[in-house]
Amino acid sequence: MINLEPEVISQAQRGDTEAFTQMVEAYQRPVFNLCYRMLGDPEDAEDAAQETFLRVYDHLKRYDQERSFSTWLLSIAAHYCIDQLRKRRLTFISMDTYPNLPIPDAKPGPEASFHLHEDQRRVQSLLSSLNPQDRAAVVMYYWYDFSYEEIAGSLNLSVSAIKSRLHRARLSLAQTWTEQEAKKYSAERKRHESPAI
Amino acid sequence: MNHLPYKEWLLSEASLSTEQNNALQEHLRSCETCRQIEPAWADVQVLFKKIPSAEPLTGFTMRWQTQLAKHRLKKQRKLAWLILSIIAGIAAILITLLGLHFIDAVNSPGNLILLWISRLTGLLSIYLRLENFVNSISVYIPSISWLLMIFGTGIISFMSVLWLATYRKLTVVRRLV
Repeated sequence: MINLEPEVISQAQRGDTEAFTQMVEAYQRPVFNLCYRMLGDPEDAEDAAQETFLRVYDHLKRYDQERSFSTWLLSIAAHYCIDQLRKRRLTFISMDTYPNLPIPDAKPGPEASFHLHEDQRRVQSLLSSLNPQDRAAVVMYYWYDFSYEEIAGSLNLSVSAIKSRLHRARLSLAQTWTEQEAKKYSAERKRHESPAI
Repeated sequence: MNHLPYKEWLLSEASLSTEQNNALQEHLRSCETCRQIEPAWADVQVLFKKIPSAEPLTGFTMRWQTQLAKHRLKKQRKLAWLILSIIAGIAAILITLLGLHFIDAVNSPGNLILLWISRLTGLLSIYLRLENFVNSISVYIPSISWLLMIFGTGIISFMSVLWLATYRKLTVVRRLV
């Protein structure tokens, strides 16, 4: 995780726009990644990341320098995404509807690119099987190496609640994976079956 | 079959005791459901580690600056509307009070004239008392002190205006776009 100089944060707190821009530049990737893992759509993730930075801009004076800045920032992003997911929870999104994320720097061959898109799609499909708060806990734990305490602080939950949510999420992810593998296997078997049979 | 402790142990990140491990292995030999969980979770973890971090399209900061400019404009408009609403509210209250006063005046103009005359005479008596007070103390204070007091008040007022103007210039955030 990026650690921005405390001086830059202090300058931004005093209203220095250049320092704030430096902050946006430094944290855009982790914030976007969290939003993308939470929402599963690059456009929604972009909007959520932009909104997160606007909220940070409005409330930066309330930030306590004793806390980790990245934890505070990502907790704002996570809360915004949880709210967005709750708003759209009645909308069903199938695995095939996840738009492809543009692959940033590398220029992989078509096969590697296909596999990467497939992996991204599978991850989003797995994450979408979790409820918003469990999803946020999983993303913070597995992508940002947050401790149980940090996740608890970010999501306003107790440490024991986070442990139990993570356990429940692991179980759910493993079960979803097993189901998906079974479906994949049966689809492949059907494709190779002779039409006469 | 009771899977509860075994599922917990399978997905636990803490190491298991020998007894727990033996019990788990025993359970796995007879339980197909639990046997599937461990490799499935291992596959999920591999997938999580394999995929790269998602990145925004280039120009994120520029887009954010545009958003910020819009956001500020929206906030300014909101503030302007709020001030306007407060002013309108105060104006409405004043108009209502004046209206009530007007109704009173129409109903009994004599009383209203008497009330205003008594108010004016009250103000006049306060002015006369103040004048007496100033005249009485001016005897004891030399004229140079009066001049110094007036000069001092002028300096303080000028410095206050200067300070306010400087403070405003320093604290108002520069526009980005």
